[in-house]
Amino acid sequence: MSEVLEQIATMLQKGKRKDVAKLCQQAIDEGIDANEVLTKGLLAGMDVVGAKFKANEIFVPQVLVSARAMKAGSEVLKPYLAGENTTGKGKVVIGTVQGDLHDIGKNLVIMMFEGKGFEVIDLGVDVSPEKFIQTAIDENCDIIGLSALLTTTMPVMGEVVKAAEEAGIRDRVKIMVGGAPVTQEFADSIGADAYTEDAPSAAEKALELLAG
Amino acid sequence: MEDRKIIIEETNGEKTLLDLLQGRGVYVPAYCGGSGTCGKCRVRILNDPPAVTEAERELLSADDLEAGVRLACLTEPEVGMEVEILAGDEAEMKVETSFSVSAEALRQPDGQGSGKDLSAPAKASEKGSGQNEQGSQDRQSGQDEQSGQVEACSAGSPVVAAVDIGTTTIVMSAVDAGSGQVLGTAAGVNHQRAFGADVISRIDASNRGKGAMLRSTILRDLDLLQGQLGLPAGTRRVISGNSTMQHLLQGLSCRTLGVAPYTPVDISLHSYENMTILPGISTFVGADIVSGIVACGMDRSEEVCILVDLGTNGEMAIGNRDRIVCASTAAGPAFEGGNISCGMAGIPGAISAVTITEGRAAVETIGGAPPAGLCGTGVIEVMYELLKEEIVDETGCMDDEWIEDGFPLAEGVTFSAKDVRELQLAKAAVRAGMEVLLQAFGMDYDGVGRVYLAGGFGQKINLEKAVGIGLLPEELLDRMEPVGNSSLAGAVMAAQDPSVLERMARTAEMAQETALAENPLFSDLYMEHMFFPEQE
Repeated sequence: MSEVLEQIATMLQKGKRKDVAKLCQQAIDEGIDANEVLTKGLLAGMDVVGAKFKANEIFVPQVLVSARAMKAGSEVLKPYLAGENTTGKGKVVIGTVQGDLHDIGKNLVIMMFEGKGFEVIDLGVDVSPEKFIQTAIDENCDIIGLSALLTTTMPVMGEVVKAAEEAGIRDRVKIMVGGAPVTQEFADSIGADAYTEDAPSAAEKALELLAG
Repeated sequence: MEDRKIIIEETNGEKTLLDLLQGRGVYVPAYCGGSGTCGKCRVRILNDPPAVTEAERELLSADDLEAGVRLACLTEPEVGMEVEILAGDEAEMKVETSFSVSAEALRQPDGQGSGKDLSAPAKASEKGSGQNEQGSQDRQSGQDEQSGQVEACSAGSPVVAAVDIGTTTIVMSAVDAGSGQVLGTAAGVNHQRAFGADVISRIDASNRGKGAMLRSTILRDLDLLQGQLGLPAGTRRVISGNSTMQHLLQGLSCRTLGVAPYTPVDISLHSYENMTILPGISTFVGADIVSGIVACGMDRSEEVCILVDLGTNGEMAIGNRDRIVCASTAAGPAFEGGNISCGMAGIPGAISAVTITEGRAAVETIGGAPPAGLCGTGVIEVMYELLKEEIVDETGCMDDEWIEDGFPLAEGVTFSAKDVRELQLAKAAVRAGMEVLLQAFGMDYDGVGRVYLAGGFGQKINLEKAVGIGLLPEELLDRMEPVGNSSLAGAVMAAQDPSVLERMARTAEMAQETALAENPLFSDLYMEHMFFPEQE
């Protein structure tokens, strides 16, 4: 592999935003395909970050700085990747459900999804079931990701599943749920397609869901 | 102990045994609110125990399962079922009943000097001074029944029960309203724990139609403590506590408390016939903080002070007599031993002090009992030692040697890599909250007079170690003052002198809450403070 791509992956793990951006430009200038810079540089780096996070070797702030570095790199690559869904992994709409304002867990999941090459639409916090469904339809999403940190807002997840059924899109979107109070039993009870304990596993599970 | 064996004679369509027991007022702790995840609602089915569920297999030991132990929340009740209620782990829970606030804070208005020191109450202050109308009416209504009921009570003056209702524990002091003397204090578990360990699970239970049961549970607990103090029925109560507890006690709907924008139904000062409800500031900053602010005298001092309550919701306030800003952070229960793999309440056997030398831990426990787990104080101690010995680096990464199984502290007690992460989240939330609060107030460290640390944990905390892990800023170390249960202290003051109610109402009205969740500065600082300070 090209040395510059390895450097991108390393600098991304260290969260060096400026270096990552500079190296991405350098790679493009060297004539490397933007798609390759993305997958073998940025995404390869995020993969390592996800694995280390799962193993408790690194923590939220490190993931965050790495994600910022990845964003800086993506910005550089954007004009060269124009338009196309670059990795073809799929499109995800994600948000924290209505009545709930917590977003750190959701943001971690987004980073991990992007690290796996998904295109992610972040609806933020306090998102109504209607907005999830409308976005999934308008943007033709493959997955709806729901986050809730409160027992009192968890039931909204069930409402989103119902709304998807009513809108007639249930058979073409996968619905994933997560958050501290959420359990596999709860996910089963509302008819969600998947629950995972942490953000890296969510991204892996999403790949599985779309492959299967 | 209450009767521990029950035979089910009839059912009323309850889906679970837990529901049935709750309906009959039988206390079974269920921290998770009955969702089958905490494993606390253990009961033994004496005749023909039902098939074991997957969750029970995970949460209960093989021996227990063999002996017919099941989880009440996963068991369907049947007529004729013989159920033995197994003792919870909280019978001996140590409750913070003490409070110490500076003499200056308790100085009377109008230059009357330091009249009331809570730890050594004044002998005879002028009775009736500064009473507001409601207060004096209430006092008179209870007077006839009360006089002479408590031995130490000065002749003819009413006794008032000052109460702090915490999510986990309840503390009550009997206060001679005439002399201001604290005659006795009793504490116990908040038996609403049968409906869940945290406020959100209580709100959830209330929303699911269990509000009346939650209310009768807390009323029973209050009667129980009142009985222990030898106070008669009808004794006037002054109630401090968080906003959820106040809602449940008054039978108010909790529906709006648990979903954004988290608006309370009513948190204003109320004087009922035999009960005064102290005012709160918001859903997350309740009467317990207002009480603390007043007990610490922040509402009167010229100097700007900070109050931090290190509970599950790390509530905090900064200000002086002219202006107060407050906030709450979802710190989580790590400082109470919650969410920690070997965490436990501050009861005998809980590790409360740790030193690590050459990779080996030496521990001290509460009551000198064999080590059984870590209480909040112990969690800070072990974290400090692990950093000092470089077993954990400043990013929170544990040495390879221990990352799999955790660092051993004593037989069966370890501190895991995940525990380090839980603590990082909790301490970052508190620290970032403090920084944002300072900024919102427009103040730097130099301008801060005192930092009052409230909560059971604040009393025993090793301040140097708390600073060493970055929970509290080093710059303020010389001004920190643990004050214990400042919520109770405020309730006691209000019982001693009803004019304090006016101060509380004014404080509640004056205080502004700053929302941390939507504050970008908070997010930045939260991330920044997740790391530990560099060790020297």
